[in-house]
Order: sequence, then structure tokens, then C-alpha cells
Amino acid sequence: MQLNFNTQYLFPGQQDDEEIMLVVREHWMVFFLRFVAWLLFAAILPLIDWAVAHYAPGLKLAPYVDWLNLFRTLYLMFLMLGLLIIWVIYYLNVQIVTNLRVVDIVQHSLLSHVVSELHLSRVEDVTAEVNGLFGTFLDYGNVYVQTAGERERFTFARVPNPAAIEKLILDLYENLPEDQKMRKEESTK
Amino acid sequence: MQIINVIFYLVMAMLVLYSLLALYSLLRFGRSKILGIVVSLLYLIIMAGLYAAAVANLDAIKF
Repeated sequence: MQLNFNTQYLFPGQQDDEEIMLVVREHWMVFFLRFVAWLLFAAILPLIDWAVAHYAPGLKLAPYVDWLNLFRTLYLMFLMLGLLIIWVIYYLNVQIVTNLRVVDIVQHSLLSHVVSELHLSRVEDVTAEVNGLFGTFLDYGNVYVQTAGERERFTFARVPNPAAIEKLILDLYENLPEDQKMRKEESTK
Repeated sequence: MQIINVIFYLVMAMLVLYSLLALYSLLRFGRSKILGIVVSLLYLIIMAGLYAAAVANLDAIKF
């Protein structure tokens, strides 16, 4: 396994003179909601203990208690694995905005890692969207980047402060050299 | 007893496989390698403790 401790490079293909403007991942509330779902599964263990104590106290005696302990330990191991996977998938989903491009790194599952890049000159339209109770109060939502490329729309899903990200991408597009913008206009004709 | 042992170690093999996949993804694609190593070590310590407890519980079962 190759471990690269140089954190200067965040994604494959990053150029030496490329300036990282923003690194963002899903809002912490997204992870928290998944964590709450995990807690519901974790709550099954004390519930089983309570049910055994009240309705089947005989299970606390040998030989049943050994089976119960084995089941409890195995369940706990699967719970820990589940928590690790939830966190890893949350942590590995990253969106990066540089002065040259937008990079969307998506980890759908442990075996599905997708890196998509979009040059700022191909940006056509940027939309920020805030939905729902949590999104409105905690200010997180989706940012859609419309492109002229094959992949028509980039989505930054449930990122914090979507309006600021939208403005950043539009500002970076405005700061592009005129010849690059011209090329885009030509390509849309 | 033999069958229970086989089932137990098959379950453990599945757990190890998924754990290795998760840790590999974290160390391979994660931005902060130090955070990845710390989380991996913490996870391995917890799982080693739970594995020892599971084996002790399995051995305690009398047929």
C-alpha cells in the first residue's frame, strides 16, 4: 500500500501552480443523521438485555447466557464495522474548487470511487438549493453546476453554505482570462 | 461444536474482509493520512478486544 503523506496534492491530476480555493464535504448534520440511525441499531443491545431480564430471566443462566454473550459480542463487532463504514464514506466524499476547475470525488460504496473534474471555462450556470427544515436552519443544501460537457450537471450534495459556494464558483469563472471564456462562448454556438 | 466453530470463523472472515476494505479505502483515498492511521489503529484495537471476547464466549459454550 502506497501512503502519500504529502497532503499538498488533493486529487489526481492536480497541477503544481493550481490554487485550492475550497475543500468541502457534506454538512456534519448528514453524518449525524446517519449516526442516529446507527444508534437505533446500537439501542437493540440494551433493549435485548431489558427484555431478557423482564420476560426471559432463564436466558441469564447457563448454558443460555454463553450463547447470549456470544451473540452480543458479534453484534457489537458488526456495529463497530457499520460505524467505520458510515464514517469512511462520509469522509471520502469531497468536493474541491480550485482556481482552474471543480473536482467532485464521490465514494458511493467501499468499492466505488469516482473522481470527476470540470474546467471552470465549461461552467454554464451555477445553482444553490436549500431544502427542508434542517437545511434551512443549519444552512446546507445542494449546489448544481451546469456544464457544456458530456456530464451535464455537477452536484455538490448537502454541502454547508451553498450560496457562498455558488458565488465562489461564479467569481472564479469571472476571473478566468477572457480567451478561455470566449472559447466557451464559441463552443455553445 | 465443529459446525459452530466453522460458522464463527466464517463470520469473522467476512468481518475482516469488510474491515480491510474500509481501512484500505480510508488510507488510499483519504486526504489526511495521519487521521486515517489514527482511526485505523483505534478501530483495530477495539476490534481486537471484541474478537478476544467473542473467542472467550465461544469457548465458554458447552455442548
